[in-house]
Amino acid sequence: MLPVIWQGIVTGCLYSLGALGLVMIFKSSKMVNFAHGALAGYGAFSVHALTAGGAGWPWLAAVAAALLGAIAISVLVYGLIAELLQRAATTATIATLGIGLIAQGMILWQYGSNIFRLDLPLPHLSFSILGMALTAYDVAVLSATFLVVVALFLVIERTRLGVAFRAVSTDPFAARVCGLSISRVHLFSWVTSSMLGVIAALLIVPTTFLSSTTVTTFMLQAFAAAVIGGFDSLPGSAIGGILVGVSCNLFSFYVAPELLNTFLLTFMLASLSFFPGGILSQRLGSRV
Amino acid sequence: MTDQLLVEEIVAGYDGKVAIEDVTLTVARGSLTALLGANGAGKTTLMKSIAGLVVPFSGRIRFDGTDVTGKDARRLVEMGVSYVPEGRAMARALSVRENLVLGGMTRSKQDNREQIEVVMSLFPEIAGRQHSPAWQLSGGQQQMLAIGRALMSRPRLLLLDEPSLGLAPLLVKRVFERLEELRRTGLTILLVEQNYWITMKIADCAYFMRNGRIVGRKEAAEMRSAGSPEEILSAYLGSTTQGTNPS
Amino acid sequence: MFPLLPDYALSAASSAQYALDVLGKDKCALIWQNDELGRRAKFGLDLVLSSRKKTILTDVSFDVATTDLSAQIQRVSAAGAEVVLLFGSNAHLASALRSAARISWKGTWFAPFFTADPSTYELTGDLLDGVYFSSWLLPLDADRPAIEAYRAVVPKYYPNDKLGVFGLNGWTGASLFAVAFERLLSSGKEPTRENLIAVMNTIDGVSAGAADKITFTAGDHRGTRQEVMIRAEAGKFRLVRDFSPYPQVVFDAVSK
Repeated sequence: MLPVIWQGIVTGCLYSLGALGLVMIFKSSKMVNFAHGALAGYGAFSVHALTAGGAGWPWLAAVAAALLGAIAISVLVYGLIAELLQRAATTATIATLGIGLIAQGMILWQYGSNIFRLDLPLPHLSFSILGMALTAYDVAVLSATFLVVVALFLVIERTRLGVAFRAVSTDPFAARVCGLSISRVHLFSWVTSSMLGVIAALLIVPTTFLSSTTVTTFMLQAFAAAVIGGFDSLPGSAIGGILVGVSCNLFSFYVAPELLNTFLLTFMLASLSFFPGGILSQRLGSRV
Repeated sequence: MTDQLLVEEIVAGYDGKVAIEDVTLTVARGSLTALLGANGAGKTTLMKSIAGLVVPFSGRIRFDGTDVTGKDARRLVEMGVSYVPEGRAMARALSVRENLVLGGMTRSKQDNREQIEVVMSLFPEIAGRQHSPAWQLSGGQQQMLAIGRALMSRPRLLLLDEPSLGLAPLLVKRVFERLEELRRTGLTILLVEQNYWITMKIADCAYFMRNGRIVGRKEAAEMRSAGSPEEILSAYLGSTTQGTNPS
Repeated sequence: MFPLLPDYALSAASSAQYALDVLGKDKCALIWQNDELGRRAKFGLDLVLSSRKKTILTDVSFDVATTDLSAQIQRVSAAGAEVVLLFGSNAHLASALRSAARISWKGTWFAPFFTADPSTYELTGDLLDGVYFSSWLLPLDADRPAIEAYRAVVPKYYPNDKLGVFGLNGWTGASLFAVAFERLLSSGKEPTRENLIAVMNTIDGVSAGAADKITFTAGDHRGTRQEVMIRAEAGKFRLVRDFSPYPQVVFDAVSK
């Protein structure tokens, strides 16, 4: 059972990273970005095209370029929907479905429908602890997730930008009164989210491989993690991701892997009925 | 001209519905001008129009001689207009210090550090609670924090919307003492109140508002010598229920 | 219809037979895609094992949209499998090999013929080395003239097309048609539909493209009757056993 849980934790970290990107945007703009997966996938494709897939750049340079590209695209996307967002968050949310389709179309147009391999530049290492195999990939996922979560925490808890982000997410009126530019804060969350997306995608594709749909499909599970975390809580979604990873792995192993989607939906429904505000809402209940 | 703020024939409201009409008033530099009126008279709409949170349908607002009509809140904060909304609009999950930082977001970090010291010495009540989340503060402390936050952007005009709301009389008195102190530093204050008695004591002059219109203006001296306050109240506001003497 | 593509029940049965008789391993597990592809494989494997008084050690399915097979790998590993038949796409095979490497599971893999393709190596890297493919087509790298012709012709006329098993599959079908059509023309009969069908029903033990001993009779259209065993080795697909007939019990059970 230990190896099953262990693998679940590693996969769960990936769900957490995906969920964090969704929650960043939801917290500031109260909308869901359904294009998150497709845009992140597009970033991963750029890395592939710049490295093994053709240009032959060093991996780090390709990742840096992909991150810059993702930032530019997120600014563009926010520019497109900002006006819709002012009217209603639901309208903007629906617009992201269209943006997701455009991104997917771009992938198919530029890179075709083939499946590609895109690995992390890691050595073939594996060692064993307590009967569990641990590979360089597992270590990379865990440490990348840890670093991302710590960096995000520091930015949000320790910087002026973080103060602005938290104010906009909980009390937008207070933020406006203080002369904050709400759209700048939105932009911050979109840009951060896009970078989280690319990082998550790069960590996901070594197991799932890269096609026009893999990252989008993966983000559906990240969406479940975000829902279980309450959708407006960053720590909640991080924990939600690991919870989803472990429970899905246990379910697949002990019950039936082909019923995994059914299980995931049931899990989401159950968590919405028992913890409507997310798994951490009990503990922070006094936060009105 | 020593008018810091000039509001000319403002018509404003929400969703196309007019809430205030032909409002004209002036606030002299360094003065504490009060705006009195009952619930729903349109006081908050006027304040929001001045603060850039509501775009007026017509009319003109000048601040320090500059036309600021329809400018957004951010621009006004940068120019030196700070608004303390009714209900205080705390960022509840943020700590006291973070709320102050939020108020100073249009200025530099260094400036924030200095101004926080100023605010803390003005409001020692919240100085010891810098790291508590705002929602844990009492009503009085929250009001002080709200004013302190508005001071972080180093305003020249402070718009205060019903600071006495929901506070015990003793606390109202304390808050108003601070307003007098602030006024002595040269800050111009426009104060919206329903509480006639206490406003009278500190205001230089008062506008009366009713059903979205200005219905009168009195100098403080006039009001104090005008015999029965009930007469003034009923004349301008059509009600005497708002004025209960706290002392 | 004169199909060449064999029922996956036959390939699965051939794979199991090879594992038992040549490799001497009998703890067989199956990971199958839960559609017709996987179901036929399960049917064939069940049948060939029960004919030899054995059973599948464990079988576990997956949905075609699944991208992560680690739970399935955990299961076959926990069951103590020595041999795993994986019936799904090359992306699934690649994902399964990845997952197995992550938990350091080492065993023998069998996968369907269409995954014995260079594109699979692109996904798996050297993890593919050692995987077996029971295939009705000779490997792409074989030196039979018909396959050499395929390798020479495609780059010439379709420079953007990659050489692969799917192409070889089409090449073989077309080659068979050419054989039948030549027979028809040399017989002097009118090239009509009826006459062509009649000629096709006389195809007996014919080699065409990358396939061997193709046979059709009027009542039996199981054209393909035997498979080779291919093994992935150092980036190539090597023939490790020549054509060998399908296990009789399964061949009898598939529809004519």
